[in-house]
Amino acid sequence: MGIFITIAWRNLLAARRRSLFLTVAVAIVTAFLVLLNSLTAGVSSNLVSAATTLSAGHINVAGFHKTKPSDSSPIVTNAEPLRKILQEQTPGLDYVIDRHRGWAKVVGESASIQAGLYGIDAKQEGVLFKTLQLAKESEYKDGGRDQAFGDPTQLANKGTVMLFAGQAKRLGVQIGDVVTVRAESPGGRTNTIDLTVVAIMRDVGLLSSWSVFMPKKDLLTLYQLADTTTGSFLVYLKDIDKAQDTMGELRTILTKEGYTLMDYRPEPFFFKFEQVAGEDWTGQKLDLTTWKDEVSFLTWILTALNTVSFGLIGILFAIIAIGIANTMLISVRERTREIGTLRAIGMGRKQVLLMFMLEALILGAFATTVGALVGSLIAISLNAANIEVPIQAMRAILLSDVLRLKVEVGQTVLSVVVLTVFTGVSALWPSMRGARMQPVEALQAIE
Amino acid sequence: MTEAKAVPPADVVINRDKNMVAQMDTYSPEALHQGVVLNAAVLLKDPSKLPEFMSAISANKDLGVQALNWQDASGLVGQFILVIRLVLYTAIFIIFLVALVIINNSMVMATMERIPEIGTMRAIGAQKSTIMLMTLLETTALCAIAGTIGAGLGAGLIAWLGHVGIKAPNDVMVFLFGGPALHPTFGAGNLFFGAFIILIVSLISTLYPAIVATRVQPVVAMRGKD
Repeated sequence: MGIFITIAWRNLLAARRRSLFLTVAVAIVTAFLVLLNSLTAGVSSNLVSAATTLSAGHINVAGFHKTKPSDSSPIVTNAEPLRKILQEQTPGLDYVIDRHRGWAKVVGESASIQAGLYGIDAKQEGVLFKTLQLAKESEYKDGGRDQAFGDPTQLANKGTVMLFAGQAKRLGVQIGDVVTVRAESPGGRTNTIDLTVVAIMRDVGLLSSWSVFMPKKDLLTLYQLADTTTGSFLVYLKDIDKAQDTMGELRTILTKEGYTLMDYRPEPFFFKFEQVAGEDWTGQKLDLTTWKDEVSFLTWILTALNTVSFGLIGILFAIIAIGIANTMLISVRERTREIGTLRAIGMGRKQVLLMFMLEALILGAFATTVGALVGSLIAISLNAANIEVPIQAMRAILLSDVLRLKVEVGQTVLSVVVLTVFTGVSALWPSMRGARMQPVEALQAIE
Repeated sequence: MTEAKAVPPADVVINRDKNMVAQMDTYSPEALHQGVVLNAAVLLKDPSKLPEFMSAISANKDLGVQALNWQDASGLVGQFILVIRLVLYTAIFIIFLVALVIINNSMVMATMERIPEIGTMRAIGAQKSTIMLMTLLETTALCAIAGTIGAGLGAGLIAWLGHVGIKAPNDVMVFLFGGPALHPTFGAGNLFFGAFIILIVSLISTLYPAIVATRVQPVVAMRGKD
């Protein structure tokens, strides 16, 4: 085997120019594959962090309350006993917080937006405040300063609100301005409340475009709800990967404690209003979901990214395969006499095939490794550069206001292996042509 | 445009998200009596005149309105088109980059094989420029044929897809396609653009092999191969 590798390596070196061109082409494709993969991984991790800070815990214990069958209020009544159960009995629990939820029109200086409201208790939201970052004034105000203002912890005070940069820009408000929130209470009355903007945070993609945070007390007033109610309990586990299993265990625990549970539907709560309103029951039912379910309407972004990656790499590799096959064919023809000689002195067909295949595989392995290294380096430096995404729609898709790339070692190694194998496969047909030659014919072939 | 004139010369911006209540103060009673609109949608016979038309509206201070193009007016959704276009152009750029390297490689090898032939041509009086021209013309002819076949296949595929339509597999795609199925179309402009790009790519990728070819000395023709 060693001797074949040596022959293949020397052949590659002998045809230095074309080996170099092929290496460059394969390396470019590998680098792009690694870049695209790291982009997908970056978006994926943005999705996890955006989802679990903004809209969901690892597990959500929420529910619907109906005073008459046609209702569907997304609230949990008599919340404290439930909190106690969750705190005491959830396996692998890190911590539990609760948030009220609503959907309202937020009216600012120059425009209004529809937004999901989160009524929060500032004392519980240390992680939220730590994860989100204050936006610079220039991000939401034309000609604004390059400095961040505001303080999210002021949400502990009544009559305050926290917005995101994109929203603030649309609404035309800045720190200290007042926005009016208008919502319809479960009773059907329209209530409004004026809130002072105390913090404007940096965008975290699509989710932040409709998330508005305000004190829970104000939300209770707005919706005329009793303060024994809550919207949902966000249960955070020590290990996010156990969310699905732990949810199953919690279902058993809560059933045992006498709660009525809704059938598990892996969808965000706002998909469920119509169905709940159509069901014939009154009272309280709990609904358990994982963070994945609550952002399932966003996974299309990952699907789209993967589809684009596969499509692009597929086309690129088709071009490369033609290039490699062409090069190998010419190489086989040029070396007809060499093959003839080798066969005449006793080399078998399989060994000739092996010799040519090894050439392609060595070239592939070398080129893909170089490409993967270059790609990873580019990805890491782009990530470190904290490049701001200029287009709003792009921010929405990337789920962040800066470009996040994450190089995953396993995936990069896989790319290298797969592309090397593809390179080998592209060389299969020309190699077989070389192997099929009759020694006599091959020796006679003098141009 | 008559509707747009109904908006009084106040500091009003055409914007769907304008809050009605907040706006009321800026209207005079007469204007309210005549009927008020928040925005006017203007469709042009020739969309390519959009920039001139918009600047004409903005220049006319009497109207007291601001013109927005459909992308700005539709906000995030309009921008998605921009993102898709950006992704597409990047993809095409990368594809051509790789194609360039591959074509370059093939052409260099083809040239190497023909060194004796080129040497002979030089020996019987062909100038360097002739060799250069010959090599470039060969690629141009090749790319003209391959480009036409490719464009024909692409046009056929698009025409067929335009006829049957691409079904949207899920809600998100329905949203992106603006309906349950996408019926792609193409114009002569797309074809010419494609042909032009492929010509440029071919010419660039032949440049290096062509230079290699011109460097061949007539004397190599005298030497036997190997």
